[in-house]
Amino acid sequence: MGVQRSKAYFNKADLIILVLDAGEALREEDLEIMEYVKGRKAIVLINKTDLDVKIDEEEIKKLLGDKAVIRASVLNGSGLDELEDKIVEMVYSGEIFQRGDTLVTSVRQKNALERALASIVDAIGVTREKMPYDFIEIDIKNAYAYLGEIIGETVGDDIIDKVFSEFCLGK
Amino acid sequence: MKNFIAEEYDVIVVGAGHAGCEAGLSSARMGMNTLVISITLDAVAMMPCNPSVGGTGKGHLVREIDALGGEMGLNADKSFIQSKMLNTAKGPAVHSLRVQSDKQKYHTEMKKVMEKQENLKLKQAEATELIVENGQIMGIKTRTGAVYKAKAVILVTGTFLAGRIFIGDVSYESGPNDLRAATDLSKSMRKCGIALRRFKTGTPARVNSSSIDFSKMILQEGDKETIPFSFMNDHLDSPQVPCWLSYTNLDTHEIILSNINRSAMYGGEIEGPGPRYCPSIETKLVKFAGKDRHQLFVEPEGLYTDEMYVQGMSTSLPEEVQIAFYRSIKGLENADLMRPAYAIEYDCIDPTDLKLTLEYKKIDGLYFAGQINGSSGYEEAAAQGLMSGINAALKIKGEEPFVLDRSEAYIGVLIDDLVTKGTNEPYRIMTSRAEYRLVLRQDNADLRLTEKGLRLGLVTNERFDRYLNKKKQMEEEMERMKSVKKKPKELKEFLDENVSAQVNNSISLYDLLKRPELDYKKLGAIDINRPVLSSQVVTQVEVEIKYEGYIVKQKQQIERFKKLEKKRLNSDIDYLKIAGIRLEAKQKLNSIKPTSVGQASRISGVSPADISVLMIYLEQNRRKAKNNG
Repeated sequence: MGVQRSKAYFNKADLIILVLDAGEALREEDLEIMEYVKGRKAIVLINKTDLDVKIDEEEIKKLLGDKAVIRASVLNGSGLDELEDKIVEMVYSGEIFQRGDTLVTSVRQKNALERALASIVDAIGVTREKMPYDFIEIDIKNAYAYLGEIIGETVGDDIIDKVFSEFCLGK
Repeated sequence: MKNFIAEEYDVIVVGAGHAGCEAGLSSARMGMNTLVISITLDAVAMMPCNPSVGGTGKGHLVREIDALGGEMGLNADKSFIQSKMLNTAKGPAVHSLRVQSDKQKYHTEMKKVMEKQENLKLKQAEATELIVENGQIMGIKTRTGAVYKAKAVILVTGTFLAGRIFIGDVSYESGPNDLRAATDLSKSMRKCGIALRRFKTGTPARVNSSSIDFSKMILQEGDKETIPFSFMNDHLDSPQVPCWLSYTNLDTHEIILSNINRSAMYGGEIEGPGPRYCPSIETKLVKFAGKDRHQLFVEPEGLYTDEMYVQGMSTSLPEEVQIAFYRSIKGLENADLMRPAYAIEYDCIDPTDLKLTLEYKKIDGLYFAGQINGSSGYEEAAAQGLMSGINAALKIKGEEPFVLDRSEAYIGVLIDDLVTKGTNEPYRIMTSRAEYRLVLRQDNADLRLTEKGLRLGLVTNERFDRYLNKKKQMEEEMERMKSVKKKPKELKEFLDENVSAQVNNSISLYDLLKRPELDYKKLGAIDINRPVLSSQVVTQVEVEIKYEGYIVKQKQQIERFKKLEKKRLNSDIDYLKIAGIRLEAKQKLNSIKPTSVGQASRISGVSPADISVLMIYLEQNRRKAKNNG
């Protein structure tokens, strides 16, 4: 299931971050996925390095020698800065680029982005206050809805109004 | 057999389980001449599985049923033998009440209520045929040839409908708890064009308490201070009895796994899918292969009996394997199994064949509720039963249907999920299914629903007065807390004691309560003249003030949600004719016939892009109509 779903996204992805579990030896499934990752833009992230490392890192380097391999532990936060730096580097060096039109072209999109950002900042604030998850979810959902307005995943009334005000439909 | 015309009713309810009782009572209370039949009257409000009411999400449903004037909460309060508020370490949205019930008492108390209810008749009879003419339900026929005419029929057949019990490779026709199955009705339903499918569920063994060594188990007691389910009760003083916790071990797992091919589920005997959230022990062992133990709770079936329910150990393994693996568990070494565990398979419909009122789309006046709709659980059944009874009565009266949306109640979430999305396995309510759960709390179900219940004629004056009184006390207390201000020097010591930041200016109790480290009880130290209020009112005041900011945000989300819910869709729209919607979505829309754009957007296979096209279509039509008008 997981492999199938991953494969479906490989061709769509601008960048693949392959997350492997340091605490477990490489499985058949992992090797299969690594085959697919070959020749695509990818970073290998070995997570859970806080555990006893059982994964064969030599094997990974042998298979995906040309990819950046980053050791991390999301639990204690190590390696995440390194991951971020690597992504930024790949974007600015032009090694990866997003397909499609990603320019912010309207005030509506700009507003939606700003609202999404404000919601994310709120969500971070809520986690700092150690509030229950239900509260964090409210802000995250808002952020998601605002971003969705830009890519058409959220259906808003205003968009339909906009469509009718900007285009000539239904006369 | 000679048929005879027996009697005529407004509403006939087929089944008297948790759905049937609420359906019958709500219909009768709304003035409908109502008949409730059951294969045996000993099964009225029977609890064939766990001896408990409530739990996460389910407790919310019970509170909502109560606020609307249903019976489950009141009956649970009459018959509980242990009470616990769950998840109190988490946020207010997920606090859930759960009680252990005395099964016998739950049954007898509910039966008494049914017997005494005006407009309601309770009869022992098995429905064998539906009478349908020109797409309209006309009545039912029973095993003994009695024909009962009715304007509406509600089918709440639970696991009785073509029920089949499985214990290992043994299987036989049976309803729950070895009661007789309803064997003929399915055939008649198919004749009427109702598509049926098979679901299954299971229950653990019952063990004699005198054969259990409780010293090897961990004691589980109820809350010291119990909170009632019903908003009609302030507090309850029934004595409580304990439950017990134990664990499986590697020996248990060895016995089960070496016999797993003898399980009815794994041997392929059973076709229907089971409830994912209430799996059998063999399913748990296969799914969580790495786990070396699973917990189990030993719960009393009531005060009238020594039978104990072993929660977590449902199975369809053969009886001798059951005995062996139960006895491998700490404390159950000498367990005397009084009733074996079993799996049961039954007929149910596809709930997407229903309207949001629970009426069958293709047969006027025929309603469905409970397990027959693919749900699992007493509370889920009761909630649907209540709504089906209400809507059958409203239809007969020629009034607007009563539908709760996802932002108004868990009942709305439950029914919308079933009817709009359908289900491929027995459906269970969970707090995570509700998008607006900070607003849909169990503590405010009365504030959300009592007025609606009053308009339906289900809420008594006494209940309505209690609601008004609570609301008034709440509002007054919130106002009072805004008006009582404290000076910095009055607060210095108190804030230090509670490790809370000092203030430079006067501050109201209202604003102090918003601080995470303070609560209503702590504020009592500096709030000498506060009025004496019930814990229900205090909880409301505290939650509403403390989480005000988030509640406001969630209410804004609800406003956005309502916009799409308010865009109505006529049932005569032919979606195949709307250009731009993808074929799969067109077909889905045509079969579900959503009543609003919001509902349409929740149908699986309908994408946001399809919805945008649909909205443009609606706007075009609106403009055309305007120009022509």
